[in-house]
Amino acid sequence: MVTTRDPETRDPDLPLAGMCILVADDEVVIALNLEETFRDAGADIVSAATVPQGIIAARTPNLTAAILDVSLGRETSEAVADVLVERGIPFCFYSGQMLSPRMQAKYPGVPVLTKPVRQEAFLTTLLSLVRPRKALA
Amino acid sequence: MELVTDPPIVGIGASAGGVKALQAFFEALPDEPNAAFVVVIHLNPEKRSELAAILSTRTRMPVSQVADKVHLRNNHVYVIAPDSALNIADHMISALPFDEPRAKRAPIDLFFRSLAAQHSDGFAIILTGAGADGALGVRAIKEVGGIVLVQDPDEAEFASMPRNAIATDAADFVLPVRDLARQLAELLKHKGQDADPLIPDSEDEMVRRILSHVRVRVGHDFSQYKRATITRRIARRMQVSQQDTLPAYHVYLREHANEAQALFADFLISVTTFFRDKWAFEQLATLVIPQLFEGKEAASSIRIWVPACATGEEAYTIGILLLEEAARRDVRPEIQVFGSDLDTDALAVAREGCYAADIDSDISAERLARFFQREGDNYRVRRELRDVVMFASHSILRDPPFARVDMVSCRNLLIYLDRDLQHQVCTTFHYALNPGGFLFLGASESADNPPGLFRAVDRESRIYRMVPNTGERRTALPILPGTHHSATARAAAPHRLSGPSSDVALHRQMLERVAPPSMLVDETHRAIHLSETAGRFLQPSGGPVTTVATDMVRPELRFDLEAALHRAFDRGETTLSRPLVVRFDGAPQRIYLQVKPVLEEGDPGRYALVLFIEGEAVRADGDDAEAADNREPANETIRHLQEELQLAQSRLRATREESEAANEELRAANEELQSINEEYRSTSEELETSKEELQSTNEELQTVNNELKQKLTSVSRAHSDLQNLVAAADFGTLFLDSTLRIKRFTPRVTELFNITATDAGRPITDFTHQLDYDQLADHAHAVLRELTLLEHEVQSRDGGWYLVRIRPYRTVDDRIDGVVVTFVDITERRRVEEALRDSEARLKQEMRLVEFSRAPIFVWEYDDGAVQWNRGSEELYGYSRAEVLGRDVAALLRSTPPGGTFDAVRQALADQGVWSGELQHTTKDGRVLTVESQIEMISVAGRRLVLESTRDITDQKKWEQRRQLLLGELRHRVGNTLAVVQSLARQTLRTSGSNDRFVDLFEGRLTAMARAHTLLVDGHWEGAELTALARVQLAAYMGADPQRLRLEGEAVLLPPHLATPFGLVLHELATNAAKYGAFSTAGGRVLLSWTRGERDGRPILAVSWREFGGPVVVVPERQGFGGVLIERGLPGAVVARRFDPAGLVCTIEIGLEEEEHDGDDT
Repeated sequence: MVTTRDPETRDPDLPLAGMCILVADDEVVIALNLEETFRDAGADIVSAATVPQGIIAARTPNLTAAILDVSLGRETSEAVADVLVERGIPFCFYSGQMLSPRMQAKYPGVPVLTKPVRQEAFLTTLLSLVRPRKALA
Repeated sequence: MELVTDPPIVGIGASAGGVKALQAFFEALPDEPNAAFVVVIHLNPEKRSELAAILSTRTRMPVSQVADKVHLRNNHVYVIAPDSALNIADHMISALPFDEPRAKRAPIDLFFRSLAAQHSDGFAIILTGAGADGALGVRAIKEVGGIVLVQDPDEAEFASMPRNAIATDAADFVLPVRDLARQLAELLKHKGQDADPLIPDSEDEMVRRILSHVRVRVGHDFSQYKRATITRRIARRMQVSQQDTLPAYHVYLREHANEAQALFADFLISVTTFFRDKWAFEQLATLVIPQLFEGKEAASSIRIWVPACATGEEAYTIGILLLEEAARRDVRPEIQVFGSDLDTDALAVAREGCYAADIDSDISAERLARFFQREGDNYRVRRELRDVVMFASHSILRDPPFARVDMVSCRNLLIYLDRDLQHQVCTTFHYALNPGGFLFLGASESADNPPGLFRAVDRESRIYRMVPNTGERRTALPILPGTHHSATARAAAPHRLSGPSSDVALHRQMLERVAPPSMLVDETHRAIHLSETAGRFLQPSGGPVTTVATDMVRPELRFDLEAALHRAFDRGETTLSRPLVVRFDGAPQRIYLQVKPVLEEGDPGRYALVLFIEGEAVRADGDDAEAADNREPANETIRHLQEELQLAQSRLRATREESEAANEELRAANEELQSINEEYRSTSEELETSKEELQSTNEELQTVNNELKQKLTSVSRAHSDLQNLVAAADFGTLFLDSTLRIKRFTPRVTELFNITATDAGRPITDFTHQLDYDQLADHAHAVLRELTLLEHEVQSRDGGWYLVRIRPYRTVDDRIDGVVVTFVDITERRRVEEALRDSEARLKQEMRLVEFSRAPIFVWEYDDGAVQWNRGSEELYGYSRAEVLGRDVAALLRSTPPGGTFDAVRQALADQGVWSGELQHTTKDGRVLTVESQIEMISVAGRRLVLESTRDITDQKKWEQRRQLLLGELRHRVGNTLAVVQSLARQTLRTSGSNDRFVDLFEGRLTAMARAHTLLVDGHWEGAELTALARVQLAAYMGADPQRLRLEGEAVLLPPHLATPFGLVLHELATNAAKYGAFSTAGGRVLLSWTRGERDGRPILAVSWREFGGPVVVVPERQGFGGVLIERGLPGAVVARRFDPAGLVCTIEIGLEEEEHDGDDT
């Protein structure tokens, strides 16, 4: 699901202006909060609560970055992450627990945010993910 | 005499080892050897003999056992039956019972002797055997002209019988048994070709040539031996040398130097045995021997001559009889028995005085014991007998005889001699004997030729007594024919007979009629022959009748005859006497004596012919008177002189005769001295031999002495060893004799028995002892009886224990001489044994504990399989004890330590001996267990035993994992929940507007979450029952009226990930209803219903929230956070809100995936 801000409310000075962020979390409350946060920072949001939704969302054409809950329903978000890796889209994990050793090995260098996190940390992390890209742009 | 058609008979004697030899013998024989074979073998009288059956497999000839009486047939084999002897007569062979006791039986001798008695052409074969049976038999066979074959003793399994047979000198062939058979076949073939071995008379000349060859070679003349004997011996030698004709044999004889000696030996064969013809010797002992002792003083001597004594048996026999007689009398004159023979080999045997053992069949046991001593298989003549018999080489025909003997025993010699030699020998005997001496001859001999010399004492046993000559003086020794004389004389004799006898007789008759009366006189002046007309001139004088010529003629002629004879013999002159006046019936007549020596073959003086030539009658008147007148005084003187002369001459003659007799005696004495000398020489040789023997005995003794010395040294060393052993032995040893008297004891015995060294010899039962052991004596007796070892453990009075061992005392020569009792202190051993028993019991107990322990414990050998497997192991792993024992436990259980192999564990065990840690074990039914294992390796008697004890920690591990999982989950959930709470707070704050409202909203939402959580926790986080969830969330809004909320639907368990959001959704719906909807009015009601369904093949839960009786519903212009929660709060759910004016309708469709277990992913 893509929610876009109204063009009049769009402020190009916002930190995430012009970006499209995928939020994948099966906890609706958390997802809503994240969406609100990123939206407030100027980003368009693509959200997913299940793995199939996540995979479709990950293929969104202008996707800039993603934040993935490790567990989506009873599955992990690994399949979604794989699509992202394949597409070269930066992402971070947001998890209630540590990443399993296998996944740590599989995704080196991917930041992991352990729940709960202060609101600013989301933005900081996400910005660190997209900054190199932004600088290039 | 045998019939020509009868086969030759071959007697075969064998004993020990004989069956094998016989088999080989018959195998080597041709199928038809042309003879009848009689096998005599020593058999066990009690057993059946299979010999016939055994031999019949080796020959084509029929073989039968002689049971009764059988006629011998050609090419048959006859075998002796057990317990019988064989006898042969007229080609009938018969089995006879034995007369002798078993030990003395000599069946081979018996048969051979009977064969010899019947057949002169038998064959005797001696094969292997122990003893001397057959030795006498072969001599008998050989004597009658048979042939003797003997198995080579080197080949024979038992050499004794062949050796004894060979020792008799009778063996013609000594060969290995197969060659023996071939030789026999050859001999039999020759015999077959020349059916009559006897030499025809026409071969006389050839026989003579053979004899003269023997004489030249050997120096003995046999021409006057009986022709039959001579030809038989020659025929035998021909057979042996396989010469078919006499000339051929003669050539053979000349070409083979040894043959003459062999033939000579054959000529001399004679069988002598001890007491040959027993009855004759019995007669001798009763009739003659006592008389010999009559009138003899101790200083005088009895002299016996045994000519032709051969191997001396006869001489010794007589010696025995004399010694026996002497023993019966007080006086014992010196006894001298002279044995003489031509055959020096035989004499050597005689001097040795050593005879085969089978002489015991001829000599009584008593005599054997007295006069012989046993030497192995032989009997040797004892000194006493040997000393009275002397042997000398002597020819009775050629050498001067022994003189002044009391008896001559000459048995079985005369039968071999022709009549002339018999005559001569008898005369010799007569000369040799003292007046009244005895002559003892063989069974078929007599001393009647010449007559008058001997008178029979017992004709049956051929005992004669010498008749002394009528004259006082001894008879002169008869002329001993020199061998040359006799040969030439004999050679000439047949010549004389070969003329036309009628002419010779006529001529002789005429000559006799015409010739003057004559008389032939020999050298001794005896008248040998008178012509028919010579009687007129004889006028024997009174007194004993004599044939001396000068005593026989008329007295008138005697003087001149005497002188003429002397001239004739001494000078060989022919003389013619002066005319002698002889008055025939008163008419005087002149007689001339012509004495002419008969010249024969240039040997003058042996005979003289006396011719009585009658002259003219003396006229009675003129001449006679004239002569008488004229010559009266002269005649008187002459007669006187003549008488004197005659007297002197007769004196001279007597003196000469005496001198001759004395001379002869001297010759005889000389002969005797020579024989004594020879005897001395042989004695000297014997002494020399004895000396050598003594020397060698001495050396032997020295050796023995040295050996004894060494033995003594070793014995004393052994003794000191024994002493030290006794001193060192830490146990008591007691030696008792068979009556339980103390022989010897070691010091430790004194601790138990109150004995001291001086008590040796006293019965052990006399002593008190410290042992609780009263049966010592009984047990010792039992050991002596049973000769077995007895052992007892006995307690001593001071509480110690002793092992008492009684064994028989065996001397080195394995004789039982008492018992040996040993007391070994085993107190310590008993204690150790008891401790061992205790520990064994304890061990057993512990083993059972292990065995029945539920904890798995097992033991395996480091280098081998399992040795123990307890019940705990059986229960844990499912393998029974039997399945595991002997197998490699690690392989069976697939023991692996985590992340490694079991080899590492083994290495650790080898290095450190212990290992403990986790292992994976696989049970029989394939379950993989995780166990905690304690392993320890110990070495027991070279085996490395590994003790392993395990504890199953599979469940523990599982719980551990589960705990880890739960912790993770908890952390996840708490984090998640806190994040949710954080988001809730932020979102609530974002929409609330005032602090009070935020608190109110946030608390309500937090409470809803908490209630859902409470339900989940109560349901073990497995899910929340929908009804219960609805009730806890909506209870606050229902107030007192239960009708405000209706719940319709089957029981549905919401999974945990849906339960919390669902609770929040219900809370928001209820909050909205309380603000704007059904719960805001008193009559408002809510129906919450749900059904299970299906969409696209997946299970779904369709939930419906329907409000009734509330205020009229208006669609809100702005959607708040609550609305967002309702519409998006359930992940994957389809939510629809319809703002029906009658009341809000909210439908929610949730996918109900099949719930899976927790923990299947991390």
